[in-house]
Amino acid sequence: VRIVLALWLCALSATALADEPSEERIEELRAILDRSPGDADARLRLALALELSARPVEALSELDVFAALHPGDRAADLLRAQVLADLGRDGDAVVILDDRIARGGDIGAYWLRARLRERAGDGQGALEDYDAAIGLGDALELYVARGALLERAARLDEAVLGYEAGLIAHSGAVVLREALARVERRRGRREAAITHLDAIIGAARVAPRWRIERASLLAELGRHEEAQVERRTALAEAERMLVNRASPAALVERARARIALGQHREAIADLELALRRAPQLTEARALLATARSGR
Amino acid sequence: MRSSPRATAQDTNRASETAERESTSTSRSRSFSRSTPSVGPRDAERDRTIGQTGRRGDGEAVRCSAPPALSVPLCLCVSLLRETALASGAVVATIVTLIALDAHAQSVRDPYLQMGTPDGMSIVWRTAASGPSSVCWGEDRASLTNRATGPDGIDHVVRVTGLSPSTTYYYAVSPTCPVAGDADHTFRTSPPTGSRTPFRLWVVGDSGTGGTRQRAVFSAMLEDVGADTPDVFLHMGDIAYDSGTTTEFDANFFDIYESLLMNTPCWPTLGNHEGRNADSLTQTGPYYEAYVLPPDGAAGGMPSGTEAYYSFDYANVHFIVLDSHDSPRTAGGPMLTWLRADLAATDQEWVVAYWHHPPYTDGTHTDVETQLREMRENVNPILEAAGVDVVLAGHSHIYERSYLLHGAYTSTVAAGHIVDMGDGRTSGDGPYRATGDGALYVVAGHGGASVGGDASHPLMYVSEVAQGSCIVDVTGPAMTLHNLRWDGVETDDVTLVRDSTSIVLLSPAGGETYLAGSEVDIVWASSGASGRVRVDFSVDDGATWNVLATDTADDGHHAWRTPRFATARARVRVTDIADEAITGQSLAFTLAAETVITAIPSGSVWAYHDQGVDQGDAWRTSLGGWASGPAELGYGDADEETVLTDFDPNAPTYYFRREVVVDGEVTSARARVLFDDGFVMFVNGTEVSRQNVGGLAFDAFASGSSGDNARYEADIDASVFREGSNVVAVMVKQDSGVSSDLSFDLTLELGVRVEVEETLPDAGVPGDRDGGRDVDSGMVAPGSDAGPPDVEDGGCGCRAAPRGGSPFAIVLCAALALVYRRRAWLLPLALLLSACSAAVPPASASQRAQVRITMYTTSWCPACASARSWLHSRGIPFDDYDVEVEPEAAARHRHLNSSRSVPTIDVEGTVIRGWSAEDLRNAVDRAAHRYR
Repeated sequence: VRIVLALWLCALSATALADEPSEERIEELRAILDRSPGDADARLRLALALELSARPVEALSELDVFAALHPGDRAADLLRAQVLADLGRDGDAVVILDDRIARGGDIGAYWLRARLRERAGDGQGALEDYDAAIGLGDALELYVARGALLERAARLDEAVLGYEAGLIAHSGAVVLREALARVERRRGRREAAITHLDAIIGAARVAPRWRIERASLLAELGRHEEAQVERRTALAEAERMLVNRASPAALVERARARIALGQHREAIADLELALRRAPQLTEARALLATARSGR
Repeated sequence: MRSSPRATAQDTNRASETAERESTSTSRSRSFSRSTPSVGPRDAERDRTIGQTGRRGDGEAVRCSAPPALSVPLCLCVSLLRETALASGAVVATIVTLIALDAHAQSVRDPYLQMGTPDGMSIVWRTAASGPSSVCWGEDRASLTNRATGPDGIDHVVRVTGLSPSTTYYYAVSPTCPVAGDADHTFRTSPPTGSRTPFRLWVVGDSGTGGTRQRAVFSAMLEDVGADTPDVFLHMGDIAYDSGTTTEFDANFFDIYESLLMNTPCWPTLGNHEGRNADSLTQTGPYYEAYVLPPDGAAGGMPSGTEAYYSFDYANVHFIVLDSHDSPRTAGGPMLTWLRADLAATDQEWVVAYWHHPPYTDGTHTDVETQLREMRENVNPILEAAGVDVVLAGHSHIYERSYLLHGAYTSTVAAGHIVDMGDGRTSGDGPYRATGDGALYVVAGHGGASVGGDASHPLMYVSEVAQGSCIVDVTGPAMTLHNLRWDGVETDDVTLVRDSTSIVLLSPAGGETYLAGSEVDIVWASSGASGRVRVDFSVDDGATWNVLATDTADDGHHAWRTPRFATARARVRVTDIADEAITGQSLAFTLAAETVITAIPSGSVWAYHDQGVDQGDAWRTSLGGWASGPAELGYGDADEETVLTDFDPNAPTYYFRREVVVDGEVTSARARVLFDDGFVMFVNGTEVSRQNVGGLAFDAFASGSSGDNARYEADIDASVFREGSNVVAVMVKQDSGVSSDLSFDLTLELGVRVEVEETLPDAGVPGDRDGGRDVDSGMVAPGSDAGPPDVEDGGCGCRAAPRGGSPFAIVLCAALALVYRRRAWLLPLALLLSACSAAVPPASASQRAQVRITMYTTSWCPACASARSWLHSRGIPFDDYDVEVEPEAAARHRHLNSSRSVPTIDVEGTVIRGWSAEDLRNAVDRAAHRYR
């Protein structure tokens, strides 16, 4: 039996389609289906290739055929739901996912439905799906998405608990630390926010943006001298970044420190230069407005 | 490139307290042991991948519900069995589980390195049966006294910590310590983060076919780098075709790169093929089992919280590794949020980012595809704003290298996006300036899979549809990428220079082999320097430096007569005398006692006589008095560099000659001649080759027509060459009075051998003192803590002596040992010193040349290359059998070494398994003393 299966595995490898250009791949798959319209694998691969080539309508057409021939295939269902969602047909996608989940959900189905439910304004439903997905798999993306949903709903205590659970599961991920610092500040728990920022700063070679954030919190706590030291340290670190790599982003970091230190004219010069070099820096635009207002 | 280990006081202290010290160790919760109930897809993106695996069928999915390690064959089999409809679901599940278990049980991986940092290294291996995870390690190969452990199991991960930066350690997988190490299992810790220590990267993508081209690409790299092997191995994904199963990882990655992986950590990114059986969301599957990557920022950078994307530092470079296949690529998603934070937290000079799907390509894929487009539109703006310098990728099976680019996010046309229209080559338009306003994009998806595509992307300066890999040399403020084709030909190079003020070494750049004692032209380019420079060389990887010129013009050239000293660790550096910080240093190159030199390159300048006058015989041995010009010389084909006189009717004979100065004894010679219609070649008046020529008389025409630009290549008599000046003379003949053309060019390669000194001869230039070393002699001063230039011959704490293995040193060491034995606390020292007596006194070169040595090797093994290089550099002849090519040799190899490891070296009955310079030298010298 093992030999037979090993041969099957070899055969599969040999016949597996190589990593070829999408258009050629699509044509090849269409040719296969012309010869063998019942080749389910080829049809699913064709749908995938079409979706990856930004041709969702054609992909959906193939998936519809596939679904008619092979109802209940989980991979096809999820791809079909995704394609429908890409086409804005969220309702149809949810119907597929509901059915899928009713027959035994998985992370993918829950996660996609959570996002669709969020899009539809069903926050609670989305939250339940995120919880279900996290129950099935400890994924960073799920903690982030669920936390963001809770933040938007101003359910900050739950958001903190969720982020903290994610932090334990995911090696101190900086995205969760930043989220925690943000939420703790919103909750008025400045010391807790500072603790998270300290962890970020401790992991960074340079940390001007987080130092400015920390300085702001210190100032709110009335620890003005410490705040000023932090701002100066931030400026020094930004200078160091610029010495080694004079990037637009480094200019923004220096500008942020300069604004915090009241050096608005210099900050404006940095930001204008950064925007000339990297117009996509929306953050620089916001800071420039701040600097120009003298705040 | 590889600096000599600098033993510090701290090291010494550590060494004295290391007996059986339990190092900090960590064990990784390997994914197969995680209690993950499902590795199912988290969204349609994941399912797209699943779709690619060939899933099909109707009914309930038996979908990867086994532990992740089993998931690969399970998924494949389920798919296949469904298709064939040969078994019921229950039978399928049972059989599939059997197969899956079998596949994993049969997977055995030799130790390989992961997550190298300045103070730590992870050693990873897989065994067929559960066993202890214990690694012994140390700086002294003879006695690995430190131990680090992890939990028992099949998959072993042991983290060795508390190490010194830029230091070489030996290691062995062993349950008890101390134990002796071998020369193969070594690692070198990363340099201090932020330092400008030169280092080398190997960049490979889409290699994992297990085919001959993948092996050729690997061999070409090893051949090219010589002893200066890469410090870091970056893989662009598609590591294990077709679906990233455990079996495919073993066959197409671990087996093929084993010799590199035991010494060099690999930092991979997930490709779509291994993505078919890996899940980034849950970090499960064979890919995530194979690699130990830093989700916690332990190797530099900010904690990503996942192994799917991460960052690390090496010297002055910050590397960012993204997952373009299986992690959300959306602007506000966790990966890109982390990316922003990671970039905001680094002040490294260089930022290199890589992932699988290239933002720009016109190869086997085009950049309109979803992943490629999303990475370009969402990631590139973040990276470029942060001043990323280089972006590497694979996926598209082609080599493509861009101009310096900026801002091509939604549009990929050239207009408005090319920052520098030059070629980026130091030998051409000059390096690109890495100012933070442009990045270099490289597609290195040519590591082994079949290549293709139109190769005409408007943003690419170079596109080549051929397999290969990229070697990147980072030398402080300069970074040079070389594209090395599978056949060993370098087809592209591009350099980025960080500073507005910098010096970049162009030649030697690293990896070259020069004859010891020959003249080498040191070439560099500078920008913003003061105009005066100091030039130094080192024979010990930069541990000590010898001044070649204390103050010379910054004119980009310095002629250097190399010392008659053999080393594979030579370097040169050029430093601005006004600012020591402005300095450029080469990577390591070799000065060899014997090597093949191109004495006359193609296109060389020749003296010629084209006036249709008989020159008799004397012209063959004299020089001067003729006109000269570069080859190709001739007329009538419109491809000549130098056009000769075309008589009507034709003159029958044209004469060419030039001098070749040889710095040693010529041991072999090979000529390649381009000619039309016949030629005769003389060396010092002796004929060595002829084609299409009957008589030598001036008025005799060639004996036949050759056709245009005929080529002839052959070995010629080497004995006609002499040390010093030689005259190479060539007579070229027309085939008739009416032939329309005549052509000549010649390439001459000579194997040359010189006697080298055992110690570095006096450099003969004004020197200074540097770190307690006499820079004139290159010798280590007494009390200094660094090793001599050729560490394999010395050691034993006798470094201050003229030579560790000399009779004097042996006597001295023995006497010291006897004295020290009187005191118990000095016993270890005595033992150490007495070990010197085991060293065999060096034999003479003529004695060594008589020793019969047989090596059993493969073409791809770097240790074999090291052994060859060691023997070549000392002029020691040997027989070399490739056990993968020669069955009879393979049988003898098996007889000598049942483990079949390579190299296996038979020195007149003494069999050395593996490569150890010390063992080989001892064996050779022991045998050599039998001869006069």
